[in-house]
Amino acid sequence: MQILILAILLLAVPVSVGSLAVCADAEDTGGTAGLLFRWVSGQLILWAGLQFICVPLILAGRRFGDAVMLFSVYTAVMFLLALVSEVRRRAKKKTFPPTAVTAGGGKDRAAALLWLGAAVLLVLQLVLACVLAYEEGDDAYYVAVAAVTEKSDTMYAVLPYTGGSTGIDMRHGLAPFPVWVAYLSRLSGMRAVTVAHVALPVVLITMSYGIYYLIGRRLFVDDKRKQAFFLLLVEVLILFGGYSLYTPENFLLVRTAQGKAVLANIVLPFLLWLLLTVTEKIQADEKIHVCLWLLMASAVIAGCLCSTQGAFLLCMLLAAAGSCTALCYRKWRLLLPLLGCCILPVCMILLYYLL
Amino acid sequence: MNNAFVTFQKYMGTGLITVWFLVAVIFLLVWEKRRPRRILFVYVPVIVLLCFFNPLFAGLFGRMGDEATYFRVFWLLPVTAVISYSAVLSVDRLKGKRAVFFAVLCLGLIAVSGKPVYSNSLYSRAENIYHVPDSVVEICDAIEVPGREVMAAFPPEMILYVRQYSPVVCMPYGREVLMGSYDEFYTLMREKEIDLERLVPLSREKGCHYVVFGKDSLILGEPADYGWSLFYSCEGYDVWRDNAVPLIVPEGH
Repeated sequence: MQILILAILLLAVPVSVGSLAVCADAEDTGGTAGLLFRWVSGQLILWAGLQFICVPLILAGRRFGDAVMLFSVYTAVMFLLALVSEVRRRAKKKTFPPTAVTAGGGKDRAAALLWLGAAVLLVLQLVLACVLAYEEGDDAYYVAVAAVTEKSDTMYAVLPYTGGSTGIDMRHGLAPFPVWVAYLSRLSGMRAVTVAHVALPVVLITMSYGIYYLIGRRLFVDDKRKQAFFLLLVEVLILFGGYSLYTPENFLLVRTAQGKAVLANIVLPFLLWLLLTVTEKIQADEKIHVCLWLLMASAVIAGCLCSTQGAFLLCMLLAAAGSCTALCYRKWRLLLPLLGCCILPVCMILLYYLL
Repeated sequence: MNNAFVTFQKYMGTGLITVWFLVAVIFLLVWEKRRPRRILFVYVPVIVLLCFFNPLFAGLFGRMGDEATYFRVFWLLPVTAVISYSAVLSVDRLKGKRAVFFAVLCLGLIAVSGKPVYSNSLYSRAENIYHVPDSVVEICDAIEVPGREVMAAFPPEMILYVRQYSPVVCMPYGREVLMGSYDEFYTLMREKEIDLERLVPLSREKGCHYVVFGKDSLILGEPADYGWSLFYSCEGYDVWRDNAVPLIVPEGH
């Protein structure tokens, strides 16, 4: 039953909510890519909402139960909105265009072998995430925060290392990713430690590769063989990313359920995919749908949920990519929506300095 | 600036993957003509690297967080995507067996240049679905009391796991002692020979209901003389209850 609830919260609900973002990428709404796009987008929309809900509640010293209630209402509202938009889209018969038959697809044995290799490596990593434990010092903080939050019904008011009470830890409270872990634990009934060490690695590692699959699809349109080889290379790079303790690859496999790992391996790669989509639309002189900007804003806000430094890093990435694009294409108006995406991160940075 | 180079060296590790990344960026600078890809895979990484080594930027980042996390700026470099993309483009320029050979070479070079994440010695086979040692689970389950928290002192190897598993088990010292923070109680707890005469007053001062020792620890003094009784025993550990510290179970539990 606990696994079923987690499957609903981590898979079914985000996929459904992701329907709201389909207008951001009308070309990629069908098949595996469409499903992955909805899943990632939906999760980012939910995380962005959690950040909006949680930070004020934490700063006001409110109880975790209030956050659970408000986030559940938010999720339900998003779910219903997504349902309505999906029904309307289907009524207009514009959904699920048949996936294009691709040059490298069909009976391409090489592509099939490469996909098989990528799938085997993915399964291997998921199995290892379940059967291997890692002695990770920071988990003593983040997982304990989630466990304490769920049990004590407080947010950042208890010292996670020892259990003593303290004033609200506002600085950590600005990036309350562990509250999401506590939320999953509360709703599923599964201990926060199991959610963080077993359930989330399986889901988040898959999601990260899903994003790289989307990037591969964007880079090698209609060439399954290249897409598969791209994903295989990504997997090998991640598997052999233990050359330093600081790489995103190491964070993905070792500290999967920590917010900073999610920032490095889900939010930033997805932002790369979004920026690639935006720049290619500019190149093709296509109109950029407002949904794409809203999704980018959601990704940025989700990054703030993951890490307090996420706000700074995301603003830096948007500034670098935005100014380069604006300069290359002489489209200065592009900077306006990007600035809009940075409003909340800038507020978080100011709050960080003030608190 | 010097700190930036030190951080860069630490982040590079063996360095070869970073070399492949720089080679890939140069390859794309020369061969990639599509502007969207040049922007994201060439220009943005160059800007990020220039910022990283800029002392003014480093100072600004330092005010946002501690210097120990400066390496996170490197997360803005799409290393994985750039190397993979360049490798696929390179293979695509070749035909037949040469393409296959180069593809295998790329995979091999990555494997040789990097280091398997799972080769880290801190990995071990998970003992349960919580991914914490069985002994921690057993002891926490044994000492938990319905409706209230308990205070217990644990040996160093258990400190990281206790409160991940059970948030109702409090500890007189936490992870900070493993990171070098001095605590007299902890210092006594990690000694091979545990002198109860020195330990018990500190334990009571912290309000410890329980104290956990490894079975291989040598206890100096008779626990019963200090009001301690053996509460629970599991593989490798003994849990002592200090009867002088009251443990009242709230009504209704």
